[in-house]
Amino acid sequence: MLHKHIARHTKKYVRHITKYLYERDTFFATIAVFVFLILLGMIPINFYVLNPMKLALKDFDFNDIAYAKLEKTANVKKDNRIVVVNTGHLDRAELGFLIEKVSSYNPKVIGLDIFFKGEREPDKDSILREAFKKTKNLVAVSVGIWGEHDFTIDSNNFDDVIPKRGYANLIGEDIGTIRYYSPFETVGHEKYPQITTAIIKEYDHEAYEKLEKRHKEQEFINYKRRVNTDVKQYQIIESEDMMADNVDSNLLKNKIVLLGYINYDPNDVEDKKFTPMNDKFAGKAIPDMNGIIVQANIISMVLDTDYIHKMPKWVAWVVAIIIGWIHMSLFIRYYLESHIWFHLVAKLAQLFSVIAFAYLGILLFDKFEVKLDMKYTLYVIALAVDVIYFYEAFVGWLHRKYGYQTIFGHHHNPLENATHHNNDHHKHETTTHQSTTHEHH
Amino acid sequence: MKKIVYFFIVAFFPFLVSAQENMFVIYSVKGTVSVVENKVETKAKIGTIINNGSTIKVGAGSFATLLCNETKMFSLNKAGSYTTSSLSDSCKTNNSSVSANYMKYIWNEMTKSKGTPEKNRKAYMSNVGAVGRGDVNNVWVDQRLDSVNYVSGTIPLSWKCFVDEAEEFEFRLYDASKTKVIFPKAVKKKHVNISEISQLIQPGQTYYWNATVKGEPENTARQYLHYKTKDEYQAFLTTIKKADGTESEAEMNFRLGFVLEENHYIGEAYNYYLKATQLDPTNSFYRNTFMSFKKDFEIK
Repeated sequence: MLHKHIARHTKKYVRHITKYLYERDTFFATIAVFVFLILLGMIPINFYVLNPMKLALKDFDFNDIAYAKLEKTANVKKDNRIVVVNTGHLDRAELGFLIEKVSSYNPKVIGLDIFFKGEREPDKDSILREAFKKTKNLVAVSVGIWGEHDFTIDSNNFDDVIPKRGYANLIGEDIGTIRYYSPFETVGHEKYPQITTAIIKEYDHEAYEKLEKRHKEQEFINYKRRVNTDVKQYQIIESEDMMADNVDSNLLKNKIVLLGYINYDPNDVEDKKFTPMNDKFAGKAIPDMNGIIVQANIISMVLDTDYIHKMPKWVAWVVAIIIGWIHMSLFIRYYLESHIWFHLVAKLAQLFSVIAFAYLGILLFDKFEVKLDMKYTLYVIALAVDVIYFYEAFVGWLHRKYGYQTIFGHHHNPLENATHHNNDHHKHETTTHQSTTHEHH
Repeated sequence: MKKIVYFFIVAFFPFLVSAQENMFVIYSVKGTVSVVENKVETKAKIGTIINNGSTIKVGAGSFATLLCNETKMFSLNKAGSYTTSSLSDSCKTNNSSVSANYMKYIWNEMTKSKGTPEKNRKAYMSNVGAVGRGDVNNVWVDQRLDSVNYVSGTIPLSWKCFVDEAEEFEFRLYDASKTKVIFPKAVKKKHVNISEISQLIQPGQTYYWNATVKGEPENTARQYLHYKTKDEYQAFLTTIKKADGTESEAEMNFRLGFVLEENHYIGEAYNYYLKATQLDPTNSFYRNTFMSFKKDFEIK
């Protein structure tokens, strides 16, 4: 008995959505939403120049909620292939000693995430130079600069003694979230690797080849691990512990050792980046991750071949069209038949749709590492309500001028038969609807 | 027979899985920390794997941060020996799914109401318009207890806390070097009675103490505690006993209580204030002073 009751009610509510689904006007109104959306996009002026909401959410991605609030990566294990040694504020001579000490633990690759501009005290420079000469498995960073047409590498004080290099540049707006990186760039006529690519080439040639074969200009970074006072998903060793041999002899053996600056103080923002893992997913104000940990995340991703698959744009548009169409059908049903409830239903539908589709996006991202851009869908749902009014006016005009048959008929049209504008709204709407549907069939 | 064996395997499989051993790795270490394995004690180093059945020893003032199953981090900052089985509770992880967390988050956001800064200043007053200096510490010790001269009896070494939800505190008693912890204790109350440490301290020696909210960094401030010998105290008492004019017994006791309090003999001051109020119970000044004294030092 109960299941029949549930089935009957479900049918009833499904009917609310599907009643107008195959009407010509529902199709055209949905298309109108997209036309409106495209027209808005074609306006060459940034209307959000003084829009605080738009500015605050410029860097926003729904999937960031998964990191910030949903503990997406809370149970990800420490990556045992990578060890980070915190160089702190060591001078060049101390860095030289540290590199030699790290090297004595037989790591497979040492990645140095520090660049050296110009000369300093000759004795200290000389110690560091010697350390570079001795350490054959060292890969160091350089800084790339995009000119008008080409990418060039800035000169570095120890270029002559460090043959293996990679640029440290990441992709992101100035004070913006780092979501992408470019694995290779062309310098002159040669392919020049990013630092993580250069490190992976030394550590795991198979993973390197896989990355190379992807032929992607830029890769989405799949962040999985962080390091802060509460969570340590990479092994961090302080330079003092390293120098004092306070480290197990097997900890660095055959591993990737990254040397870079780590600090846990939220007020120290030196080399800290905004990432999707920031606790604030909207209006990010304090950078959350040291640059070296961003690089470590890239290495982990490439070694695990754990790339994020971004859905093509057309999929996002198709999803937006289907969802927009279903919403339009529901909105038109209430617009014509229960106008008094129209705005309430529309607002509730928008709210629940945002929650549901944001969830769908997060779920795809979490379970399948697929990034589907749901923003078009959400734009369409938001615009649909306003577009109905425009559409109604437009088809009203077509009806008067060319006798275009529409389910909107005389609804809300003051120029049409004045007798329709009595208080018996519902009755009128039903009548007009019935007549048009007959003609359709 | 086979069926019975299969039955037991199937029935107890979940228990076998849940009884899986945890794996501990030392993530960082400070001070004297060692690992005892097969009765052999070795210095704990970063990256040392602690096998099942091993014991980790943490010395006074030292700490070790461990990772359990390469996921869950926790610290051992109390001196003592810990077996791997005693640490298994620290391995518990939050296994709620992203979907469950999403629903929880949406519900909390939809039902949360903080009001506006104009109407609910309590919820919006976490912004501090000042700089912080020194360590972040939520425990504060009254200046009156900055120095204590102890002779006998008991008084509470108390503190105040700025965090309402703090449930447990770490009390530490240091030797004269201010660095070596000779008595660490986790307490739920905001005080430790001197009687609890009287066995550990020697007359004529200087000690220091402090307290922190459990889990917060160690407080750099140290409160002075001098265990005076009976002779030292008697010599001091003789100097202050002399009075220029005549005074009643109650007056003398009150005066001695006051001078002893000024000179940080809190326990002894208590006795003299008490005596003064007993000798002259009608004197409201004595009574009020004694009550304020008890309140200031949180003597019940």
